[in-house]
Amino acid sequence: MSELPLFHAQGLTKRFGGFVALDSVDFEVGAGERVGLIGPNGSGKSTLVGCASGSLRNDGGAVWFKDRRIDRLLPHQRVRAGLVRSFQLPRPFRGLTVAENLRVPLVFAGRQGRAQDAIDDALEFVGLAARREAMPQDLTQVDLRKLDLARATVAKPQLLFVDEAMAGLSHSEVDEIIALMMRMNERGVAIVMIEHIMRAVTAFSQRLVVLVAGRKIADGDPEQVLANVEVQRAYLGE
Amino acid sequence: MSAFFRFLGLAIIAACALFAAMRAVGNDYVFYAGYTVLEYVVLACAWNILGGYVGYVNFGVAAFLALGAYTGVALGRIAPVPLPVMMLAGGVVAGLVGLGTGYLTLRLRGIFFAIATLALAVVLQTLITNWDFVGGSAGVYAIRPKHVPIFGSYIQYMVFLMLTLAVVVVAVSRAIETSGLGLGFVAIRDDEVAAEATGVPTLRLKLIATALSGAFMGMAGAPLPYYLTFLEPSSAFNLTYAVNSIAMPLIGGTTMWFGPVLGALLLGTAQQVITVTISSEVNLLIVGLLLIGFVVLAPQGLIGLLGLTGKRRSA
Ligand SMILES: Nc1ncnc2c1ncn2[C@@H]1O[C@H](COP(=O)(O)OP(=O)(O)O)[C@@H](O)[C@H]1O
Ligand SMILES: [Mg+2]
Repeated sequence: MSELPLFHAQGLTKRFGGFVALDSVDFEVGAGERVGLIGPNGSGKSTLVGCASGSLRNDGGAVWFKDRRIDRLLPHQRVRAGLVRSFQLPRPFRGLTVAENLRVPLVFAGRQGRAQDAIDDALEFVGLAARREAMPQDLTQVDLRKLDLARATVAKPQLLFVDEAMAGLSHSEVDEIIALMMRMNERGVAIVMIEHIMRAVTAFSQRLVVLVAGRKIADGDPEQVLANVEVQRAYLGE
Repeated sequence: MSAFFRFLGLAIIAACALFAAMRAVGNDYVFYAGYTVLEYVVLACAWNILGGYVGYVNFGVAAFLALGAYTGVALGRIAPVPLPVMMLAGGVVAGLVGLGTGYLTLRLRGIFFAIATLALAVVLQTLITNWDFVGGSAGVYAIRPKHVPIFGSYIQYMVFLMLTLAVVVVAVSRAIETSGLGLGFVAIRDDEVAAEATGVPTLRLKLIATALSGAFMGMAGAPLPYYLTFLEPSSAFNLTYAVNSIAMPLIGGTTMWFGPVLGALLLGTAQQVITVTISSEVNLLIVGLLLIGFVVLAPQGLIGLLGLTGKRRSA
């Protein structure tokens, strides 16, 4: 890439007490790119998403998004700038219907008019149109994942971090979510997929980044990364 | 917007009807009892803006009420200020303290925020107790003006002001519910981290809620010295205010304005009746039992039992 990347973290470091969860990690994402982020449990993947999205404060390093240093911005400011995340466990607003859940980013992410159309489009897009009046408690696991993705879509992100959206889903449901994320990407959204299901990661990723114990140990072409000895050891040793 | 003004019109008509009915009874006792009930309508709705909509429990209701009361007392010592001005000033002071409290404590969540508000009440009570200008621990007399135009009696005038304030608080509550602000409040209540990640400026919204909530409590407090005619810290900071202001929304239902209004009208009236027929000591016991019953058996409150909660249900 000759231009500046869309997203760029340099020397990103995060400590919890004395424990170093991220140890000087460099991580970048180009506009419209599909990146897979893998690593054993506890390797710091969600921590990286937290530092990028602002729910966690990094202790060292810097984060840039669209030429702007963002690591002291509040989470909602980063959302408005176009950087959106989803959570490892679905986090719907349980007191709101499916459609009302999508109204929250419509009103607050401030990236488009308040048109009702945006909600309908997003529901149609993820396949939840028939469930628009349902309460989250009545949704299946896969529908909760779709709701999270629809909510992210309404915020009109340029970069989306999707933290393990496929855990606990069936084979065909995983395919559905992959297809959905591919379609989001086709609309121009750069996506970082964090996933343990290797089938999904390899099908989706144009580039693969591997974290182990808070350090980045590989970054590049998915096939080459997966052939990497260190990566194999990290996974076999788990 | 037109729906809002229609609602406001209905609320004003209802308030006028209530006032006319109280006058028709022709007994000042009705106004003394009615004042307390209306005061609780205001306090319950005000508490609910932060506690019900945003989900932050404020145990320091008495602190905000007392701020309004003592702002009035302090003003009255400086110049003969009319009561509505005292109410506005009390609202401003309590609103600012709400804002400050919010700023200092809203990074605390759940029980820690609740404890901080309780601490605020203790600190303020200590300050007021040692501030002789407003009577200190000895208390202060508030002399009601002898002559009250139009209303004839001062208690009727106070009821009129409290009724007006109740209409304002209810209208503001409803406006919040139907606006983007209310949607943001619900998002924070349901999941604050997810709300931030969805673009909700959580700190700003919580500050709006603490300021509004505190301001209305302060406004409700300003007439208190004249209602009691003698104000001392232990009565202004009475824990009963907090207990009732929390119990009424929880029993009525916290998701819409009608919940705290219903809770305050029913519980407030029942308390007035019980105080006369049995004893005021029984009141807190009854409130406590009702509260436990509702929290366990009907967490959506009376409006939930009546099926009035609408689409936005509580978590
Ligand atoms: N809020 C926290 N407080 C303390 N330790 C944490 C916190 N969040 C994560 N950790 C620790 O940091 C490490 C990385 O966690 P995480 O980023 O969630 O890993 P991953 O998502 O790769 O499974 C883990 O050892 C975890 O226990
Ligand atoms: Mg994780």
